[in-house]
Amino acid sequence: MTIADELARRLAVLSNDEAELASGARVISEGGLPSPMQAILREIDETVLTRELFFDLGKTGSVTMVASGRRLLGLRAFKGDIGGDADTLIEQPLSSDDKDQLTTLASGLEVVATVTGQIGVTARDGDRIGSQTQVGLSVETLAGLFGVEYPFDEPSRLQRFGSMIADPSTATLIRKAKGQYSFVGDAEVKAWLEEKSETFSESFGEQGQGPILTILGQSSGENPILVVIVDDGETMYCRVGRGQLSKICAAWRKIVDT
Amino acid sequence: MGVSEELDGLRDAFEDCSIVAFADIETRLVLVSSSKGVARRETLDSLCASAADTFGNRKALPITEADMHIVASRTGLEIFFNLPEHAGDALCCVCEPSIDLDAFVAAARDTFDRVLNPAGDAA
Repeated sequence: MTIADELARRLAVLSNDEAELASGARVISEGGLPSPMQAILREIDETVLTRELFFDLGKTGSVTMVASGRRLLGLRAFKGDIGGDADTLIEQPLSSDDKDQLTTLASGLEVVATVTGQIGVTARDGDRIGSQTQVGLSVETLAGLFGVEYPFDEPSRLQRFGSMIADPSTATLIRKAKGQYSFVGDAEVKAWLEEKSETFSESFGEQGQGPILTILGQSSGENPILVVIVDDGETMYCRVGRGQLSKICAAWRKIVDT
Repeated sequence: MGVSEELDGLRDAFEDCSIVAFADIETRLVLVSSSKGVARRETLDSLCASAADTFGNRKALPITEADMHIVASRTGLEIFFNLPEHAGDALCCVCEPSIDLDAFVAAARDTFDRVLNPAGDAA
C-alpha cells in the first residue's frame, strides 16, 4: 500500500459520518474486509507510544489492550462475550516465550473473529503493562497466533463491496483483465456468472472507469438477479437472491462514499 | 386513477424519489411524468433513451426475461421497468441512493402494472 493509499484511507475514515459506534469510537472494520483481527492488528502496529486501545466490538463486548512500540504489551480489561480463561492474563506482561500464555490469549480472543458488525477503537493514555525490558508480542507473532494474514493488502472497493453483500446465496466473479478472474461462491453458479459476464459486456459495452453499479433481473419471482459493478478497471459480477436490493444499495453507498 | 395520479402517488410515497416517468420506448418519448420541481426535458429524454437502449433489444440482455434495470452512480439511481408483454412501454424513475430499494421496486412494479392494466387485467 502506498503512502497516498494510506492517506486516502485515513481521510475516508475521518470523513465517514456513519462510522460511529455507540461509544463514539473510530470504526476500523465493518465485519468484512479487512477482517476484525486484521483491523485490530493494524491498530497495534500503528501504536508507537504507550497507549490503551479500547476496542468496541458492538454486541459482542469490548476488549482493552495496552500497546507500545508497535507491539501488544498486555490486556487491561474485557467486557461481554470476550475472555474465558484470558481473565488470567489481565495486567500480565505478554511474552512470545510463554506458550501457555499464547494459547490462553488465542482462545480468549477467538470470538473477535466472529464479529460481523462494526469494530471501533479509542486510543488513550494509559499505564504500561510490564517493565521497559518486557516488549510484549509483535503483530507478526499475533498474526500467526490468530491465523490471519498481516500485513495485508488494502482491499479494493470491489472486494469491500463483495464482503459486505456476502451470504450463502451470493456468488461473485471479478474480472481484472481479459482472461483473468477470481470467483467466490458455489461452483454450480460459476458457469452462470461466466455466461452472464460475457453477454453483459457485449450488451452494455465498456462501462468506463466507474464506479458504476448495474442491477438486472426480474422485479418479482424467485429468479436470481445479476449485479455488476465497474470500478477502476475491474468488473465484479454477482448473483444475488431476492430481497437483497436494499442491502446492495447500502453497500454501494458505503464504497462510493469512501 | 389516471396515469398521472399513479405516478404522483408513487413519487409522493418515497421522499427519496425525484422523478417517475411513463415512456414509449419505441418512439423514445416520455408520455407522462411526475417530478419534484421541474424536470428538464433533456433529463426525461435521457431517461427514456436509457430504457430504450436496455429493453429495445431484449434478446441481447444477459437475463432476457429481466423486467428491471437499475443503474447507480455516485449521485443517484436510475430505475427502469419494462415487461415483455408490453414491450413498448417503460417506467423510468430517478431516486437518491438512500432510498429503501426493495420497498421502492415493489411499489413501482405495482404502479407500473396498474398503469398498464388500469381495469385490473392480469399483467
